[in-house]
Amino acid sequence: MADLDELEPTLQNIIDQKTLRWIFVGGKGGVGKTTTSCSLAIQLARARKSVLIISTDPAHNLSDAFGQKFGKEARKIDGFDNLSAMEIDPSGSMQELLESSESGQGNPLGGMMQDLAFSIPGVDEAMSFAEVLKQVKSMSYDTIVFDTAPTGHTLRFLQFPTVLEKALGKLSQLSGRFGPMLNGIMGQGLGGPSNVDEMLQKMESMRETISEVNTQFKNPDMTTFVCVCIAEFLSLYETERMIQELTSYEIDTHCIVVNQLLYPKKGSECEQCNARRKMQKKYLDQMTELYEDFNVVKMPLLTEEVRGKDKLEKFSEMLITPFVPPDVD
Amino acid sequence: MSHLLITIFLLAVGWQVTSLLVGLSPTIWRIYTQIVPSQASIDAQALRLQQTEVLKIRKEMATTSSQDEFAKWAKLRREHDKKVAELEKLSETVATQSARFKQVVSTARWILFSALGFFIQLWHRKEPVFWLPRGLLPDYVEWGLCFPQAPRGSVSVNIWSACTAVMAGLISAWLKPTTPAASRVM
Repeated sequence: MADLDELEPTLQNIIDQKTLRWIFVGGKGGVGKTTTSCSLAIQLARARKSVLIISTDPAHNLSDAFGQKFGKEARKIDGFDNLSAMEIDPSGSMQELLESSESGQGNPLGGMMQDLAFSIPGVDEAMSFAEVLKQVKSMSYDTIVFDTAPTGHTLRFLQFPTVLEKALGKLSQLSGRFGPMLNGIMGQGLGGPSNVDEMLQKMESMRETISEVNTQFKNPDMTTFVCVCIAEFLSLYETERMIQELTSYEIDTHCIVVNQLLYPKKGSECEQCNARRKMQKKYLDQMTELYEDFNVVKMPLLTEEVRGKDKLEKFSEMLITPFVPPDVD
Repeated sequence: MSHLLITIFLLAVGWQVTSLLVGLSPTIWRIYTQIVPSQASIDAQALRLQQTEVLKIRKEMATTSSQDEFAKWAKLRREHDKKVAELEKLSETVATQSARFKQVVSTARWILFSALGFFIQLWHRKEPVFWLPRGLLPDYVEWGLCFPQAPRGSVSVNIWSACTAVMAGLISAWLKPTTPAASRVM
C-alpha cells in the first residue's frame, strides 16, 4: 500500500542526515513534543557519537520524562552512554547572572535590574540562546535536539539571532559615540569605567558567534525543524502557520509528527473512539494532500503514558518503523 | 506697460487656479498613469491588477470551509499571503512614484507662477505698471505705491504683484470656503 509519490512516513531521513547539528522539535501545548523530542534523541544516539537534548521549558519536562533530575549543566541520561540532557531554568540563570555582576558593589541599581530582568518577556529565549552560543563555541556534541517551550515563542527564539545582530550592530555604533560619556555617568555607580567597555567588548564577540549561529540555522544541511501536532483542526491550523513562518525565516522543515492517533478495533462499539477516528481520518487525509513534500509520521495513542527510558525507547521505534495498526476499519 | 499689468495679474490668478491641482492630485495621477506610457503607469496598472487578484482569492477563501477542506483552504491561504506581500511591495513603489510626480508638478507650478513672478518683478523693477491720475492721492500714498523703484506717481510691479496676489487669494477663498486660502507671502 506504499504510495511511491509520498515521502516515507518516518524520521529515518533525519537519522540518515549526518550533517544535521540542530534539530528543533516544536508545536503547541500537549501534542507530545517532549515525548517526540526524547524519542528522536534516543534514536539519534544510536547513530551518532554524542547527542544533547536541551529544554528551556520551566516545567522541567525532561526530568519528568526520564525520571531523572537535570540541570543547566549537561548530564548523561541513566542507561545511555552518549545521550545527555540539559534543562535551562531561565529564572535561575538570570538570578546567577545578576548576582555575579553586582558582587562586591552593592549598588542600589542592582535590585531594580533584577526586577527589570524578570519582567522582560523572552528571558527564556535569551537564556537558551546563550546556551546555544556556548555549544557552538565548544562543538562538543554531534547533534543537539531542542525541546521547545509550548508557548509558541519558539519562533521568536529562532528570530532572536537576527534581531540581536541588528541590536548589537546599533549598540556598537552608539557605543562609539557615547561610550566615553556613559563611562563618566555610570562609572561611579558600577564600580569603575572598565565595566561598560568590558560589556561592550563581550557584546562584540557575541555578535560574531550570533551571526555564525544565524547562518547555521538557515542552512538546511545543519538545521531542521520537526513539527509535532495532533489530528485536530486547531493543531493543524497552528502547524500550518508555524510552517509558513519557518519558511519565511528560511529555516528548513520537512517532517511532521502526528501524535495521539486513534485506531479503534473493527467492530468497536465505543462511540467516542469511532467518532474521533473519523475526525482524525478527515484531517489526516487533508494533511496528506497539503504536505506532499513532508515526511508525515503517524504515531498511535497508547494505552499508557510514555514515561521512563523503556517506554520512550519503545515509542521511539515507531518513529523509524511505521506503526501498523491491527485490524482497523 | 499694460501687458505687464495683465501678465502679473494672470500669474496671480494662475497660482490660485493651479492650487486646485493640489486638491485634485489623485485624479491627475490616475489620468497621468493611464495616458502617459511610463514606468509609473506600468506599475500603477500592475497594482490595480494585483488588488483585483487579492480580492478574488479572498472571495474564494470565504467560500471554502477551513474545517472541511483544510488542504484547499491552506493552499489558498498561502497564495493569498504571497499575493498580499507582492501587493505591499507594489504599493510602496507606486507611492514613491506618485510622490515624485507630485513633487515635479508642484515644482513646475512654482517655477511657472512664482519664480517667473519674482523674475518679472526684478526685471521690470523700475517700470511703472500704470500711471495714477495726477493729484488723486496724497504724496505719501503715492510714495508707497511706487515703492521701491518705480517713478513717482505710478504703481510699481512689486505693489501690483502683491495686490493681485492678495485679491486672487481672497476671491479664491471666497469661492472655496472649505479650502484654506492660498496666500502668497511676499
